Amino acid sequence: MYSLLGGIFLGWSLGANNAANIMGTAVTSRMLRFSLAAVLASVFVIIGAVLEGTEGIKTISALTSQTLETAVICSVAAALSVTIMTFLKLPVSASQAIVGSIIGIGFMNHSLNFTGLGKILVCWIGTPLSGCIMCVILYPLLGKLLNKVNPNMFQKDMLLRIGLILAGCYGAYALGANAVAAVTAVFVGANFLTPFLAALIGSASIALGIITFGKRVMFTVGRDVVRLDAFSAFIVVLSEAVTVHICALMGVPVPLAQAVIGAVIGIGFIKGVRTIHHRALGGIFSGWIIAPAFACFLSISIYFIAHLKYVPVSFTILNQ
Amino acid sequence: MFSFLFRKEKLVERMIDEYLEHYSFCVENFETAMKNYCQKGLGADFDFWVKKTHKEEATLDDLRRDIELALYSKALIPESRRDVLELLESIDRVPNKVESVLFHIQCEEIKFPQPLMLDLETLVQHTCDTSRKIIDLTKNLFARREKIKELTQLIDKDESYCDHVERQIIRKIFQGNMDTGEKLQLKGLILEIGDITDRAEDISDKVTIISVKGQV
Repeated sequence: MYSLLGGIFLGWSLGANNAANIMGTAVTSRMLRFSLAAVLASVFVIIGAVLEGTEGIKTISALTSQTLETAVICSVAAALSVTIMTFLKLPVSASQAIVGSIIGIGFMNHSLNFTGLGKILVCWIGTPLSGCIMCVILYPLLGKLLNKVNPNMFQKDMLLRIGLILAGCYGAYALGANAVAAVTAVFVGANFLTPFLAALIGSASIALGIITFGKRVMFTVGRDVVRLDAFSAFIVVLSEAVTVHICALMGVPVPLAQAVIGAVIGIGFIKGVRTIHHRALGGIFSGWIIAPAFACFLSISIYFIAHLKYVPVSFTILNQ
Repeated sequence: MFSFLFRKEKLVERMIDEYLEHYSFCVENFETAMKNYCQKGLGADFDFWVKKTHKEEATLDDLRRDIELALYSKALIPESRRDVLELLESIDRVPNKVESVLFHIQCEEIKFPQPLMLDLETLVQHTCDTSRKIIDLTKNLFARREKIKELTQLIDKDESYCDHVERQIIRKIFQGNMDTGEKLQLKGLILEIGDITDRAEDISDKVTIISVKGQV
């Protein structure tokens, strides 16, 4: 079980960081108590992982051949890179870190599935774009519907609150389905876990992260995010959930935060205002490169250190 | 199915209805007090209605505070909360002003000239009618929102007419033979009464903005 610690830590940090993206708006604007949001998010993360997490697990576990040792190195390297980059306040995603560390192991093994890797890279680039497109489609569609229904203030309030809760639950489901691969897929590749157990353990660690540290992240990082009205926030959460779910069906773990940024940019296009600072955009681009590169470097280093052998040197004293 | 999640919203709705009911009592009491003043002048009857108006105004303050507390305990999404609070603050300025007018008359012992009494009654009548339209307007905002434009236009017309009556009365005051001090005192009273419809117009503008914001 100690072998799984790296993966469990990765899942925990994934849950803690992404809780804000799925339930942050509802909780920080006091529409929903954190305790209820955390329970709903945790339940749906586990359901999503168990029902639809296996595609991602298959993709990640097939990137390179794994032993238990290399699986542990991958998860520890990814966990370390997430910790160090978070400490340095650099944008990092657990799914990008785990792929980077697997690439490092792949180099050392001289076996890397470039087709699978290519699919992952295309999805990473497409994630913010897809989030933006989803938003641009959903906002006018659902907006027209809401205007047609023409609810009064209290009815509209109720509809938006129900919408945010349901979208948050869907977002949690998509997160579970998508991100569980980043947490425990390497252990499936090493034949240490079955896909079902991997999904269960991975999603439980994500749920733990949401419950134990999600509130703190929501109320600190969450407040730095651009303020959106309730309907826009609902569209952002829904767009990000749909994007991440599609990627989960394709079997590619993607960073939820990048889908959120894409959706918020979409809101900006619709409203004709700038909703995202250049720094956030820079974060997306650097996330594609720095996080996997750093994790790759760490996994190679740890692999190298783990395979260092002590070779005793024998001395022959010559009789003079 | 989700109704258990929205107990607080239902409570806020009921509290706002109660607030509007007491608002209408306050305006009625003001109207009765002013009718009494126009017919009988200062006296025990007028003092009685001033006291009643003051009591209703105090009740409205208490209700508004209760609604604020209910809203801040997680009822409604933040934008709606803000809008409702600002709207209630604006509406509350009407009962504050009607109370102020009555206290003004009572404390300064204003004796309104008899020849101008009919004009004063006309001004008060239109002021009260305009103030009562605020109740319909607010109820419309929280209901189907169909008559908001129509009611806003009516309030706007009333406010313009009240301004016209106000100016007429002030002109007549200064054409009269009273001393300057008395003229200024009466002018002050008329301007204060006129301020009630100005506040009603502000409320209708606010309701229009909230209604438009409700569209996506």
